[in-house]
Amino acid sequence: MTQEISLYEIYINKAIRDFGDCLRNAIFTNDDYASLTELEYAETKDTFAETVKKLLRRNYKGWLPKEKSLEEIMKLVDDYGVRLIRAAIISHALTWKER
Amino acid sequence: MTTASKLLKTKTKDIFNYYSSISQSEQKATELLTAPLELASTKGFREEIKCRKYDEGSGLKISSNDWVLCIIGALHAVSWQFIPQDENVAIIPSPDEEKGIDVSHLKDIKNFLQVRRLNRISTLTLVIHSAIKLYQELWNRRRDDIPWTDTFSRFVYGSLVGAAQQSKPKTGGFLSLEIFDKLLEVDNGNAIFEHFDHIFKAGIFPGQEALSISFADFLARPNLESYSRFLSIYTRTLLRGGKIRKPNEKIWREIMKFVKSKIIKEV
Repeated sequence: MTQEISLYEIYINKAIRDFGDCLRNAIFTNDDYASLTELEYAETKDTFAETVKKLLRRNYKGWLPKEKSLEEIMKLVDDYGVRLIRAAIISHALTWKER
Repeated sequence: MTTASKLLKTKTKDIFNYYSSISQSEQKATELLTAPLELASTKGFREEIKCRKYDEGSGLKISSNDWVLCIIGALHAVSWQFIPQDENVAIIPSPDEEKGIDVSHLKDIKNFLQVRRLNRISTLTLVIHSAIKLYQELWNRRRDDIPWTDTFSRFVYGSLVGAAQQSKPKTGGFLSLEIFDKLLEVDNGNAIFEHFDHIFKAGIFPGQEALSISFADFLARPNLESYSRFLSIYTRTLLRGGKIRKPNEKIWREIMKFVKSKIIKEV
């Protein structure tokens, strides 16, 4: 069965936002561009998991996502595929929030 | 003065009455339809001449009534823009079949399309940047005391490029305005159009051309592939310290609503 889903529906997930905050912190505070590049090129579930592992290891002093979010994000990868999830995470990392 | 141009001056009203319902003209085809009026009338498009026969093909002739109607349409609705390296782009905002547009707004619409500082990197960037400028105005006019209700279905565009002796058609097509129509209804639509405008303006700077090209590609064909490409270029431009603003989350959310992807689920 084919189902159409918009990126917005994925984006509003709490786990995505949690990881987005983590990536934002990594890029703009710790200058960790390697994680961004690796995430952009992650195509399979294994490479995605490896990328997440490296991201967390490199930025252990910065913003870290909750353990629950980690489980949730891997579930989302199973359901919707890597490409949609990585686009949502990078999109969140790129934006700034109006206060 | 040719017969057709006499008709244009004296019988315009009769011709409009004649075309009040769609019917095929019974007049004899006498006037030559030139490329700036209709790109598809160009010789090479209609007749297969290459390697088949040794002549240039023949021009397309139409009736004088049709020609007059064509001239009136070209004068009022077509906006011509110039791109460096001898390219001229014609943009026609095609009115929606059901809702349509107010004819008295045509002049203003043409002015909205022909503003300064448009992105002229490629034909598509120019067409989409013009559309953004037009919709930015339409968004404001919809919230005026006497609101405009003009609705377009798509943009028809075509470009002529200078050849040795005369201009030849380069490209043409339709631009779907579905995204822009939806943004007209959004409350922060003006801020979104403003950010779109900013991206295209940033794409004018040398070294940042890829940004506007990828964004135009995304707006023309919104899908996950074009979005990922645009996102990648946007992030790199931002990290490189390029002349681009970090996007507001509220604006980006609206953009993401247009990114749709098909997933296969096992039942």
